[in-house]
Amino acid sequence: MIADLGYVALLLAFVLSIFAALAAWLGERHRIIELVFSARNGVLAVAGLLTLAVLIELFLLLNSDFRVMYVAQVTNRAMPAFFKLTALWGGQAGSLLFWSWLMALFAAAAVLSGWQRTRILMPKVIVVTQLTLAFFLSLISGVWALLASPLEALGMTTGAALMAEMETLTPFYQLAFTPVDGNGLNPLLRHWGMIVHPPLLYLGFVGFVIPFAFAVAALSTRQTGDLWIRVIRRWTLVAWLFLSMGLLVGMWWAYGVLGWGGYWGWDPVENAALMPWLTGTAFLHSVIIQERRGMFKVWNMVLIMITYSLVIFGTFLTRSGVVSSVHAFAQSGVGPLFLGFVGATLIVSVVLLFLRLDSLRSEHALDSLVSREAIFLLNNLLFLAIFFVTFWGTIFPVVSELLAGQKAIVGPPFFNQVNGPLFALLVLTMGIAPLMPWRRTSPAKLARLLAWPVLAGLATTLGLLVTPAMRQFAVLPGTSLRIVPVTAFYGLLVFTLVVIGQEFWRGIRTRRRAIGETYWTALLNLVRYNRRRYGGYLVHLGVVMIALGVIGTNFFKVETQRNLAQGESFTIASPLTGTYTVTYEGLSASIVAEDVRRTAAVLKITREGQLVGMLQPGQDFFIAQEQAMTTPAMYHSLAEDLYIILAGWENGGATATFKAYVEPLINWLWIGGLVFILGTAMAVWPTPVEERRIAMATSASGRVVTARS
Amino acid sequence: MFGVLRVALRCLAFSSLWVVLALAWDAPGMFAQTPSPDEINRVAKMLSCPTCAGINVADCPTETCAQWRAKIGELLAEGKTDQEILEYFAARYGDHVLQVPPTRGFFLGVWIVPIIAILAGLGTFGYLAHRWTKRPTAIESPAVPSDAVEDEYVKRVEQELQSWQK
Repeated sequence: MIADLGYVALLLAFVLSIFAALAAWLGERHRIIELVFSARNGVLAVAGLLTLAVLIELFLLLNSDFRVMYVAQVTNRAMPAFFKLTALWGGQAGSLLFWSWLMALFAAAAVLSGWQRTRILMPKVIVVTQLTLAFFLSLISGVWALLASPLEALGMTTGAALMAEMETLTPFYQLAFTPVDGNGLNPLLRHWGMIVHPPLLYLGFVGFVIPFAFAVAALSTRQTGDLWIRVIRRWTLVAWLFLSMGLLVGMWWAYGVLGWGGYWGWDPVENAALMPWLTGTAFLHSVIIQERRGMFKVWNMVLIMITYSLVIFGTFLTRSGVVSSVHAFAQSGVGPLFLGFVGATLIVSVVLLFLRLDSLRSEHALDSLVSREAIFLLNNLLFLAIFFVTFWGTIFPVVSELLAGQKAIVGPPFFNQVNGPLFALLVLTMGIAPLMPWRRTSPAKLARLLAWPVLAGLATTLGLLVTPAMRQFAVLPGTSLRIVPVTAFYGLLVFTLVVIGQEFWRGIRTRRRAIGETYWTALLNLVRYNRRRYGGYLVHLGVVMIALGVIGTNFFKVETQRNLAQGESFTIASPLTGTYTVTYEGLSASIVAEDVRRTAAVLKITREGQLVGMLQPGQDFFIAQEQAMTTPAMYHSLAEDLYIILAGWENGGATATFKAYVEPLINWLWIGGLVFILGTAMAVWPTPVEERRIAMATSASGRVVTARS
Repeated sequence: MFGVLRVALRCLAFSSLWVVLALAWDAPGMFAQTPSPDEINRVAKMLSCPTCAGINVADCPTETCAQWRAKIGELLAEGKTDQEILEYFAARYGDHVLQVPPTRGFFLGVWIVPIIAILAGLGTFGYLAHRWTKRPTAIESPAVPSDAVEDEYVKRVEQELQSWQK
């Protein structure tokens, strides 16, 4: 009964979103202001209706109403209430509902906040956001099933069957009977990382729809000046912040839960989230050039259009199962519909861009190759290159199967080998860019700015090359070739670090000279009144720390697998801190939750003879799902993690098999992630100066409109 | 009945003796001790789990992968090189059990296309940079004096200060 109510809310939201798009379009075209207002109210109503639908879905999940198919798929009676609620994004239909709800909220926020200041753009913003939303709602409101009988009449039986099946994809679909219990959530997802990871990613994905909507609105109304760029800056940063957090939390979850000692596997699902992040990051940078110099206007449009398409494509990748097999793609109607939607939006965007090319002329030319503009262009190309490599590697299995009929897997070695050097170059541009003045500079000037960073970088590389700990890797088989690029990269990181430090120092010095502040107040005020600039530097600092961890784990990870009898021990040597000795003392059993039993090994860990502590890696057995999950145990330090998993045991624990990893510098990845987030949050925070700039841009465009009409 | 069995056993014993000798002849690693789990994992990492997506054989907890690791151990004990073992699995189960497609035929595309794309990107960058720096602009940009950089920076900080204090 209550499920029916949810379904009605969903269906109404679908109809209203289409209405809002149409009303906004027609209202703008025929200058009927009432229709535009009606469209705005439609946007708000859609947000309200979807909130109701989500609340009803949560109610159903919480009350274990297994008659509703989705509830039976993702929950069971034994699950704690908290996990029942988070199961909202634990399956296909629920995820799409959740996505749509967030989209509706973002659209409502964009329309409400932009209504006064950017009225001219609003109708088209409504059109784009509501059409996107309508597409997603069409997937989960069962409307495609209406196509089943016409298709059947046309003789397209497979298409008809696929569309008929779409009926079951609604999160309120009711079974003909009530199952006694549900399937329960995949045990892997019962972790706080997996609780917050999808919402963060979705917020990031959904967030990027807003800048795209503004871009399209600016193009179609020819308001291609400063206005849309300034308005979307914060929207883009917010979306980017969420996407970055989503990626980091995902990595943290993979590291802490999946139990393979890694955090990034270049899995299609991971790549799906990384790709819009890459193009979005390129966009964030090149937008600065447009703000400052009025250049790269077409390029910025292209970037935001690609990012939007990748957001939809990413949802498609994760939701259609296309990558694991072409056949999975054809078994559900979702895949073809998504692909059709991505294709349609791309075509419309490109056509619109071509029609408006005349209004996107560059205001300035590139003065010199030794300028910040040129470096930003290079940085953009690198981001796009990494994106393309990732995209190609992700879809190659599909291409290969379709074109050559040969199955293939493109695993991490490909991505690491091709993207690794590109990332290194990216860090280089990141380091140099702040030193490059706009327009041009003289070589002597640049040399003076570069002197300290370059010296520090070179000293680091040379120092590491002669350090015994580093040189030890040069003689290990297979690593001899790595020593040069790795030490060079560490030098590069130090170079970047010194550049950032130098920038802060120059700012502090200037403030001290100008108004005589103390060092600390100067630093605080510098950051406070230039949040965007210094927030950006903080983000770069975070990237340096993350890179430190990535290199450490990619090049210096040590791993071993051993089978031990009780009382026996093995050793694993760390490249940084000394040799660990791991002694197996026996198995222990415990009850973790009502439906989870844990078997853990008790391990005594010593390093160079000193007791470090006890670790208890184990396996959790989920009774309902009859599924076992490894739970790694870790000893953390700033230098490294000792990461141990219990791979198996024999004879009630008389012997057991362990995998142990030493993960050098890994914690710098997480610390860097926090710094990164902090920096972004700082840049997002509104400043009075920024507010004034938007107000100025608004009044400027207002004049344009009055002059024209 | 038993006769047949005996003959078969004898054949087997003989042939395995022959195999052992033949292998010993050109594979000195043959009498090496049983491979350690680490050596097995080294090879298993280069293979993909045939039944589950995205996991290599070393990290995969399924029964199939355990059997594959055992097989890798046998092959290593026979003195096979890593490459031969990979070829063994690819020949039996298809190229998609390799972590990276073999470098031949259509699969070469996985490497070549990105290289072409990157070169094309660099070419575009060079072309654009060349064209833009040469193109006359509507607004002639005066050269920045060599010591203007520091001044510009100071000016910016001061400007931002003032605009905030207003």
